[in-house]
Amino acid sequence: MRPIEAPDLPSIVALDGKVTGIPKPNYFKELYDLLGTGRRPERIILVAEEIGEIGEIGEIKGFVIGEVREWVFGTPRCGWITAIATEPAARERGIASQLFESISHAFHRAGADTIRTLPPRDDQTVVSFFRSQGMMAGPGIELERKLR
Amino acid sequence: MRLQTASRLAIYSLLELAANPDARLSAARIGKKYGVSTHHLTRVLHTLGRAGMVSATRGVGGGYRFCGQAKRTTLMDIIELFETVGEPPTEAEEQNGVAIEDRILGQVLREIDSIAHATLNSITIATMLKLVDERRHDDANGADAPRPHQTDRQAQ
Repeated sequence: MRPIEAPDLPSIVALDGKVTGIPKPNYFKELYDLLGTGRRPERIILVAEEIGEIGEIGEIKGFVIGEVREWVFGTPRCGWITAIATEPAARERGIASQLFESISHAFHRAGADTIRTLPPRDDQTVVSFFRSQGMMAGPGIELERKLR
Repeated sequence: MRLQTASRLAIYSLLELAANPDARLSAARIGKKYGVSTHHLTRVLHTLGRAGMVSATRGVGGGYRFCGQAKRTTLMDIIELFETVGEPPTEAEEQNGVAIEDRILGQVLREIDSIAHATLNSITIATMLKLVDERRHDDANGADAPRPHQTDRQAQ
């Protein structure tokens, strides 16, 4: 597990496209500029790199994105996970759990003592994963309405 | 939200069996722990057996064993064997709501059902066992004491 570097972007775009079905190269480029440059410790993108043979470039098997936000409706500093994905063929190997652990530590170092996320509730795979990490319902409730 | 007794017993039984995957436990032993009659529990375990979640062996040394997948079996999978969580609206209700208030109230109630479904669908037996272990550890050592996996992590 390590912070993202610029050469990782194509792999992340490809992995996200494979998982979500929607390639978003511009979005990830902007996200990298905003969160991934390491200038601010509360903005975090970590990648899971599988190390190959000596001299080979490792393969990106997963990534997690998050940031520490504070005073969202009065709540103190809290780490938010906004995306997590692993290579489908590499699942059930604990990669997402390691990413979760790594970003938890990063949030803690950035002064947060709580971690939150907001996955779609019908995405059973993702919600079950977060549940397996011990996450429970938080104090907030997601609300939305269509804009006219 | 409240669960029927059979659903609760089924969850307790599966937690007990999944926590001891190599053992065969009798209905009497599980029933004693949770203060319920063997007769009542046997009926619950029979339903779980028909669903392929437990297997039973008769005779000396026999008993029940968990044979599902702890990481795949959700609370909803278990509860649905015994009761319905929330009632989906019938087509007639959807189309013939006599008043807008009826439809809006139905929408609110379906929102609650949807959250309940998502919660029960996302918590597996393995997750429940982990939560039980963590709570047991916290109760014994205080909530601020490092949990075993945290100690392991720090040692790495």
